[in-house]
Amino acid sequence: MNSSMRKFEEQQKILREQFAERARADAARLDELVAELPNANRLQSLEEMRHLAHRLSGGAGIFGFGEITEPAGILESSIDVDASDAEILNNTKSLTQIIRDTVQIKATQ
Amino acid sequence: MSDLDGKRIAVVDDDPLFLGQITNMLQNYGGMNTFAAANGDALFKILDEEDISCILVDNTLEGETGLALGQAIKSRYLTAPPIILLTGSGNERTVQKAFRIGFNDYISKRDLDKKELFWAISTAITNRSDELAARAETERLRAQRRTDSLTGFASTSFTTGRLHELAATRNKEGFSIVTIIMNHLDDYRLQFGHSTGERIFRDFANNLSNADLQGGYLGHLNAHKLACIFEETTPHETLEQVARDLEKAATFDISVDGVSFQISSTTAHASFPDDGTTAEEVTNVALAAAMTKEAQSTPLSGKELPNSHHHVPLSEAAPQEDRRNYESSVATERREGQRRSEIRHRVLKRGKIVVNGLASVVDCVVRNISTSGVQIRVEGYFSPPTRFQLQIVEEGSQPRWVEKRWQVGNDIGLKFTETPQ
Repeated sequence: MNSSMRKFEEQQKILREQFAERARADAARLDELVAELPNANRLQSLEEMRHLAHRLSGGAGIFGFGEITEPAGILESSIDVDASDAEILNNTKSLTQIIRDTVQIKATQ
Repeated sequence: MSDLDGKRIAVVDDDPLFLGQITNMLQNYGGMNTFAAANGDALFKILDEEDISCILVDNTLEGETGLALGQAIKSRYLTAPPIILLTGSGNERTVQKAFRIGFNDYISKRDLDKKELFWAISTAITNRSDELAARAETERLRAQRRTDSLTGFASTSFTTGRLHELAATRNKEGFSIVTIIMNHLDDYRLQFGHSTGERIFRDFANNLSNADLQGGYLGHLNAHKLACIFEETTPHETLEQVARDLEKAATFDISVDGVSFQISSTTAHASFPDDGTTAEEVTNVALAAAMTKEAQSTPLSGKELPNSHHHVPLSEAAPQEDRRNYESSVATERREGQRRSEIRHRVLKRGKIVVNGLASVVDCVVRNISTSGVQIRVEGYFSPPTRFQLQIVEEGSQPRWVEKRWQVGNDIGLKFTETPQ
């Protein structure tokens, strides 16, 4: 392995860990937002959820967390099409569960 | 080493993790130099200071979209680097919009693949480079094109280049040129506008192609000065004959927008090495002779064109409320008459504006006349020179010199003046 590849791998590892950490925080925030959805400012909460889902969907693939990409994309799309709260709740739970499972395992690899 | 080695790539993303990841990938895998920007302002600063080969723009930025940023880049920089859109979802509408704006490619972040990203960057840079090379080549060819787009004759650059070549490569072997100048072209352009001048010149050139050039070919010495080039030694008599043929071919009548022109030309010839030892000298001798002859030529005294004028039918020139209100009714006329030294009489007669001694004749309707002046109306907008001759056709009178005093739209007020000395 040449020096630039080594440098890439080192930086990749740091960024990957940072992404994993942020993904866990995003999952926790998504759970909070979806739980408050019936009571809080719905539009504002959905916008934040959409933003988090979009970020997870876009970033997961390049940091090696491909399993997150699809459920994050599904949640983003369901918010975009103004799906029911029940559907958004289901999609959020699926996503946050996968994040916890995947990130926990892969971030330490 | 890849073809991307050392390329300078700007990456715009407001997510620092993604920005870090992609720049890491480009630098350490692709050997590229990266410039990270969190927003459009930061990108513009980079573009103003650095020579960037390609820009990667995330579509979802805080407070702006990548599409809008792409549009701003395109409008701000004439030769902007290629732009690749990074999309989260890569949905069809976003992609369509991106291509309409002028993005070169798009990459979905969801399943981002290094090879695909590098290939997209490489292709965008190559295509851009090809596009710039093609543009430069088009410019080069345009500058060196062999034919003129208006006349179809050899272009100025070709003609002058060829004359230089001939002068440089020949010792005693001669070449000759016959220059042709269209008489009064500058006057026509000045009085009737650029597009009328160009139309006349195109017809002039078209008529010249009918001349017997006896082995020569026509080319431009500049936009409106032409020459017939003979690349071989050509006898004086032949040059004289071609000059006469050219003048004959270029003597014709033309009517443009109701204005009649009698076109003529002036020619002169010169030969290498008798009249000059360089291409410039030969050209200048011939041009100067032709221009001197043109300056000495008097305005054409050609006859009036019988059928080419567009006459204003009198029925169309029915009396109307006059904007100036000095002849709208008999009562008004009387009142005006009390104030004026001469009473104006309403008439509706055909008139002709004669410019350059019948070289240009414009039809008009004479609406009012007094002993000191006349009001005329022309069809279409036409601004006559300050002094010209007016002929009132139905009176069978001789043209009288007049001076323009005012013009409101198509109505023109004229004062009769003495014949100029």
